Amino acid sequence: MRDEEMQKSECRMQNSKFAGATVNSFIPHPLSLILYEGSCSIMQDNFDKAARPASDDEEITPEIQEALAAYFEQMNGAETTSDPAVLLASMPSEVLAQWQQAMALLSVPQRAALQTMSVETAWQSFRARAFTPASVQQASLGGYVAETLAHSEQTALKESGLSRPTLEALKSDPTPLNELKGYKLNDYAALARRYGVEDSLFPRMLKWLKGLGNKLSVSSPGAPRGMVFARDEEPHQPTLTETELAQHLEEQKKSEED
Amino acid sequence: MRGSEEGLSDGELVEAYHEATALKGGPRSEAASAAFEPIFKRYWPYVHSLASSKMGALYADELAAETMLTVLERLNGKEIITNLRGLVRHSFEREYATLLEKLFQGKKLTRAGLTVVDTETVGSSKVKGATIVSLNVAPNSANGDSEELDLLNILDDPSADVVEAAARRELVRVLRALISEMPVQYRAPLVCQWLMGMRIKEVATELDLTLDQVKHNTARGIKWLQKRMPGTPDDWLL
Repeated sequence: MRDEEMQKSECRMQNSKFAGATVNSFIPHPLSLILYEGSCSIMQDNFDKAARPASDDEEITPEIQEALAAYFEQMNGAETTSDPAVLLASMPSEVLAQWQQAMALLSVPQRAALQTMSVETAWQSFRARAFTPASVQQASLGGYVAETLAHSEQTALKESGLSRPTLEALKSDPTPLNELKGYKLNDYAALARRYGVEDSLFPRMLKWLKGLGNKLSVSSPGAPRGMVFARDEEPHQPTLTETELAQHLEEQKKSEED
Repeated sequence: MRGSEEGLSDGELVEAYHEATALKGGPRSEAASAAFEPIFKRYWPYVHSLASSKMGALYADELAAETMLTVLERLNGKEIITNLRGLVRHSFEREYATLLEKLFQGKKLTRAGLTVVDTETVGSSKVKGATIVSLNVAPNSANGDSEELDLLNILDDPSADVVEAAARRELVRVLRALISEMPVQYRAPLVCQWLMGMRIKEVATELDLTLDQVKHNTARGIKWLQKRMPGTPDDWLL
């Protein structure tokens, strides 16, 4: 097929995306609507990535292309179609190797279908997801922020330097703590950009987030212990229970009021 | 599922769930979990079968789990549930439509149009398209569904190799993630043919492409996936 035709095809797909694209199509994130205005550049990056032809793809041989088409037609119930095996019969071994690799990939769903998840397994997996206690749910950045705000909103506003809407948005951040484990400065910067934090407020926000990590270390089964990314200011206390945590925050609140 | 709950009607199960959440600790409590379990176990095979028929095994587990999550959320909401089966079916259609939206990035497929009347095509290998179903679907009773559920329960094989199953599940998860990342011009024709059972002509019509474009983009999509799949083709043949 000519390149020109290929480009046309890709343009059509792009246009169709423009016609019905939603924010969620680009950013699979619960905060995507809130972040919409501040993340146009991210959206554009993602869109460009999706629309750009994959330059690293090797040339597809016409024989493989036709054989794949015949394979899908057969699979989808076509009564009269060429047999892929016949199409590839006289092909060199490299082409046949390519074909075998493609077949290995295409067989993954069929192989998965041979071993359907049992109802019991499905239930256990669902139960862990849907009925996880709130304390475990809080093992995310949003959970920590929410807890801090619940205990001392004024302090959070003051210490973080962030606006109330930004803090509210952060409360829903689902980033799990184990992802935050490896956060470097540029990751924090990306986080700040996601929430539209001004550059001048970034150092303060960074300090607050790191401090927050040191103060809050919920010990919950199955959840990572403490915010591992925050290590450089105070000794880490990985064994605080929720009760101890509440007491700790209460004491802190009192001392601040005094 | 406890034996005593097997004989309960859908309405009784819903009532028991609402009682558990209202009186015994809220929607995340142990009581809520225990009350939802029989609902899950009654409908998960049905939903999984629907999901398999629409999108194949690659998305069946995910689609079924998302559907049951939606059912749970709706049970926790303010809706008055008079027809649990209808709610389940409606939740499935919603999740299926969401998945299509994700895979096709806003492009509406006519065949998967959201206006088709519910045809209850459980077990069909062909795609009948997403449907908006009213909640007036006949309530579940001791009818043909029980046979369908029994058939699916046979698939629960306790002797299966757990490690292999876990590895295969992980492979499926990775493949799904890659599909969601691949350029849409490759993904759309590939998903249509590979997972949704559409013929090339139909795909060409739906996506407004020529037959050659469909073939070429499909082949490139496969190549794209092959290059990014972890392991070797031997590993994919687990």
